[in-house]
Amino acid sequence: MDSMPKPPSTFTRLLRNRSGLVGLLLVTLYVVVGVTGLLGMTPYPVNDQHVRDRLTGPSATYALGTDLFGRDMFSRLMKGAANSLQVAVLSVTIATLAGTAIGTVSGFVGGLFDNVVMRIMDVFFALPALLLALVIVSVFGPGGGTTVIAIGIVYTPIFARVSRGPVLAVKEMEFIMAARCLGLSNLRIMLRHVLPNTLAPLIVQVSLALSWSLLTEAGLSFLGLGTQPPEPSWGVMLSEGRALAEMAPWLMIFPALAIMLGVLGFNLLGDGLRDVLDPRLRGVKT
Amino acid sequence: MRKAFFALVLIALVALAISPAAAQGNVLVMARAADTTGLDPHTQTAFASFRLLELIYEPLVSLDADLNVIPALAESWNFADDGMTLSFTLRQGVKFHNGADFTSADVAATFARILDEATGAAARANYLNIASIDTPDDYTVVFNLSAPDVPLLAALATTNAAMVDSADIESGAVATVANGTGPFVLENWTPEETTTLSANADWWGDGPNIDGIEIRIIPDEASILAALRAGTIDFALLNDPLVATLLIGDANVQLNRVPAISYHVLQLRAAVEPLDKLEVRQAISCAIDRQEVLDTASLGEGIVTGPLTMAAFALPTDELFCYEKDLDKARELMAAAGMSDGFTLKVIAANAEPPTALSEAQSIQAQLAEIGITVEIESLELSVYVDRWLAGDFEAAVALNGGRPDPYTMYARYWQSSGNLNNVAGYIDETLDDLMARGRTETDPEARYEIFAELQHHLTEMAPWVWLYTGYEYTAQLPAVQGFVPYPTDSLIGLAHVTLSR
Repeated sequence: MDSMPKPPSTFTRLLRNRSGLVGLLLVTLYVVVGVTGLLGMTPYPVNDQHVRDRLTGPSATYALGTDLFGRDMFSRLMKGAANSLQVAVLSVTIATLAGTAIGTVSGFVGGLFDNVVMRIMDVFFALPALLLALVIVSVFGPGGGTTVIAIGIVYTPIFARVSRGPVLAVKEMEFIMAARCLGLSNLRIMLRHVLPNTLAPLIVQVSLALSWSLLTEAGLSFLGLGTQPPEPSWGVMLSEGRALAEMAPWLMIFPALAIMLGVLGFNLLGDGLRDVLDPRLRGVKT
Repeated sequence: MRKAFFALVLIALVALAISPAAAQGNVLVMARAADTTGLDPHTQTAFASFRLLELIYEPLVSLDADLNVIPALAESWNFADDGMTLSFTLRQGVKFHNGADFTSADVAATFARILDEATGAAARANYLNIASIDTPDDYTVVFNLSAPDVPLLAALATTNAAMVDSADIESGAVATVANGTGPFVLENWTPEETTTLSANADWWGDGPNIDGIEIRIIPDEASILAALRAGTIDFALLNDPLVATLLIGDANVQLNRVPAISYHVLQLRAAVEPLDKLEVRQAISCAIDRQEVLDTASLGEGIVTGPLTMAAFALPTDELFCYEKDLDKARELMAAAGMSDGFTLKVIAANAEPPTALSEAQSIQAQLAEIGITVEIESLELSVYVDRWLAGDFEAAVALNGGRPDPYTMYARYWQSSGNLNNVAGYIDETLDDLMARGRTETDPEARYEIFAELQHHLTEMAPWVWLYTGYEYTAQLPAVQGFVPYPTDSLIGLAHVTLSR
């Protein structure tokens, strides 16, 4: 009798998934470009103004052209990727930690506490993300820190919801009962037994949230409330290029393309991860 | 699939709803980005408000396209020899839009309202020398002054001193009725959407030659441009030089450009450290290539300027302190101030007002880095910016400030210790106080020119502000609109005389 073939690993299955593969490639590209930009390995210093060469189109000297001040667009896009990535990762980290903690505790404790906490989350949830972020930034003033916190707060309720669902299901299972009988503390049960079971949907959610927060950061910067000039951000660059769209289209096209590909990458990766991690779809050809 | 279908239908409907039919008839369709902030002509300060109210209301005198004072509701005027009285003969047969006759009683009531502190009139400070007003008959008004006041006449040529009906003042309806004497009558105002004006058939002047004006508020100037090119609007008010310049050489749209008297400026508040050191301010002035700021932020649309922008008083900039970028001198000055290591300067700039503000700030940032000054830009939403600006709550600010045809009226608020915006300016000295006081009372034009030339030399040398450049005022129109005269003050009063030939 042949032994059962070893099931392929999650990663291998992700690579076989079409949207997962494309998403992974785009995200990898984005991260590589961002890290290179962060390390300062750009063709030109990002804020150097070459006034004589301003508004020149893509050429051998300036791969993606120059802006109003003669700053190299390619270098700025690289640094912009780094800035956007930083904001996205930090804010999603905040949202994940806060949201998961709230959702898990709330679901595990249950009762009135659960009800109150989740209704508060619903209030946040009811407000459009960009609007809520705008309000928070307007109140506390623009700047890198505020942007991160604003986006973090905005996406916290989603994580609270996503983590609460599985907790409700898991906490009624026998092995939790067993853990209780063994006298384990609530904290230990939550961390060791409940949380690992909610991990799959959370991973998917993280990837999707990264794409939204990328978009929200670009939106805030576009409106002048995110990354502050002269620091490049794709949103700022898009907004600066908009007025000159007719005269110097490359100023708008490249940042717009960058935003699109970045958001698409994280979205596809999220879709791919969902397909791969969902036990119900395991083995189903997609 | 069904969702996508509904989305498509929705998009189509929205597109239909927002794309108005092409302009037609004898009504001029005009677009601009900002709406008036109110209807009370005496309390408005926003440029956008004047662009509407100057079509509805009229002052006693106005300015022509060369900034000379010309008759409006007053036919003639006369300063007494001792300069202590200014008398006006009013135009007869002028009616308010509600049918009431315009008489000297309305003039007296209007100025009583403006001078009443409770009104909060924007230009009140310019009229404080009016001690009393006599009205010997219905068409004669005499202003008795407490001190000779030469700039008073030009200071009356503003919508902030427009004539309103005394009955409206009594009933407290000025802020709501828009009852003026001007060439157009307000029919309907939907804030932030549309304003409808009809022609005033009883207007005393020559015109209007159109039936009315429909003003549409389109917040994005690129969209205004598109509407103009598509022929859905006839006329547009543009602020963004980057948008306006796209029309240069456009065969189907005519761009009107006049040099503005408003000025772009880097305001340094000498009241805060280390800007309280003269050498530091001078170093900043010497380190900035003003032409480069103009070239990068406004695509070169404008001219580098000193403190006074109007042709009659402007000085050649090479006469002024450090208008030639001089980095060596700037570094020496920094060293003399004990600031060779540089410092961090926080500059506030409004997000989109003017549209070039952030670009100006970034050009200045790059240039000041060369002498070790690290500029931190705070880009603020307009209302926040205005609040902080008025409170003097900043180290430095990129600003676009309005000009006036008379140098005294232009700077009375800033460069006098009694000026209501002196705290915003952040700097005062005796020389300034003295020059401004002399400029106010001097009647000889040549002597006045010398006084204000000295003022400009002194201001640029003390460098409380770094004056950068003046831009252009832009309007754009289809060829069907004929006879429009643009004004350096950006006034749209020229619309009273246009004709439409479709």
